[in-house]
Amino acid sequence: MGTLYQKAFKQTDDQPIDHLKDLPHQFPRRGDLAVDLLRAEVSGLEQYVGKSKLRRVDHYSRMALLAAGRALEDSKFPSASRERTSVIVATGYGALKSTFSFLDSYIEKGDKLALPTHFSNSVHNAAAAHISICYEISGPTLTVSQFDLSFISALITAGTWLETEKTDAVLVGAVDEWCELTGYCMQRFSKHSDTSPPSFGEGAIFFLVTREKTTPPQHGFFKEITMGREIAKKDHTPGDIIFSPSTAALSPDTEPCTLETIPGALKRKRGGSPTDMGMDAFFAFKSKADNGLEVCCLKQGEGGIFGKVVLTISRKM
Amino acid sequence: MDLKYKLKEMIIEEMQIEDLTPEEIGDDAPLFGDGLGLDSLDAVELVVQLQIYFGVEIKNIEQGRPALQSINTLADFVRAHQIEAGKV
Repeated sequence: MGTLYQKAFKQTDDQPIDHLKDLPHQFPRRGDLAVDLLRAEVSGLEQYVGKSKLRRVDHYSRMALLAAGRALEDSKFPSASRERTSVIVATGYGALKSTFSFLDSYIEKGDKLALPTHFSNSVHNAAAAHISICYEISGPTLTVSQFDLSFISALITAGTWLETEKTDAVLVGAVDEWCELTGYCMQRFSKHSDTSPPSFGEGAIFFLVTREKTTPPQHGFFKEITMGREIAKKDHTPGDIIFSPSTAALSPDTEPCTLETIPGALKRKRGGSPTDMGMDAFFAFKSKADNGLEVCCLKQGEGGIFGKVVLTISRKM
Repeated sequence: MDLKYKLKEMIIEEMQIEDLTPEEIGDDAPLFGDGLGLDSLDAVELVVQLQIYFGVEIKNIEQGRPALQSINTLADFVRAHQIEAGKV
């Protein structure tokens, strides 16, 4: 496993950041709304990828590369096995900054002068491709985007690939990026922002998932990976629950799911992003909980659909 | 400011070359391959940036190949087209 969230989490828990003061002045404000913001730090990436290869790589792909590099390092996965390893990146928004920069250049200067580098970084599979190239992983690469349900969808696909022996291991991860325009839109259009200030996060998390059932895993198992309408409310949800509310703040139809409907759930208060379910799973695996404990991570999606991952902590002793 | 110096600054800024200063780029050093290490995507970016910075358009590969060899050839191309357009 590899993540960038941890540092950001600590930083914001200590010192909440009011990012509004950094927004351009033309963005209208709504009262004195405070916004918690978690930014990811990507220094240290050169430990895994040479500087020359990173020249044109944007922040979004750098986050993905660093988390993937840490996951590969943590797993001690042999380089020889990378021919039969795949990459699946889950993202709710994709490379927002590059996408908006490309669109800005297109709108301001016309199609002939739209910037090629921004375009290449805005291609949705760019991060997965960078991971594949930089870490010499030659199995299939895929980017899954299903907004709040992107990570669960990626895990389901990873499970299918492993079950059908399409691949021997999948580097499956979640990546989402903050940009000023998203923050503005969430604040401007969220009907809940007056009572529940938006909390934003960015970052990347990767897991190296294999089908091995005999060797003890590094951190544990994904025991159940499901998606559906009723799964969140069943009484027999096992173990501890970590609940991530929908980040569909832009959708006025989405009512936030209340904790009363999910007994015993822990709700993470800060650092929301469409793919924060991956972060929840990471923290569960890295918690001090005893071996054998099951943790359920729930992610609320649109239309009453939930993603659910039940994981079992099982560390090498 | 000297045209060649401006071109070097533009390349460093827009091609995101962090390790070099304009003074360290030779006027005759190849821009691609073993020289500055630019590649095909940089070539496309360079064509766009030349138009944005200097209003000069490289219209086809016959113009582009000789112009994109080095800072000297690039400066000659920009200067010639600026004179032609009456900008200098």
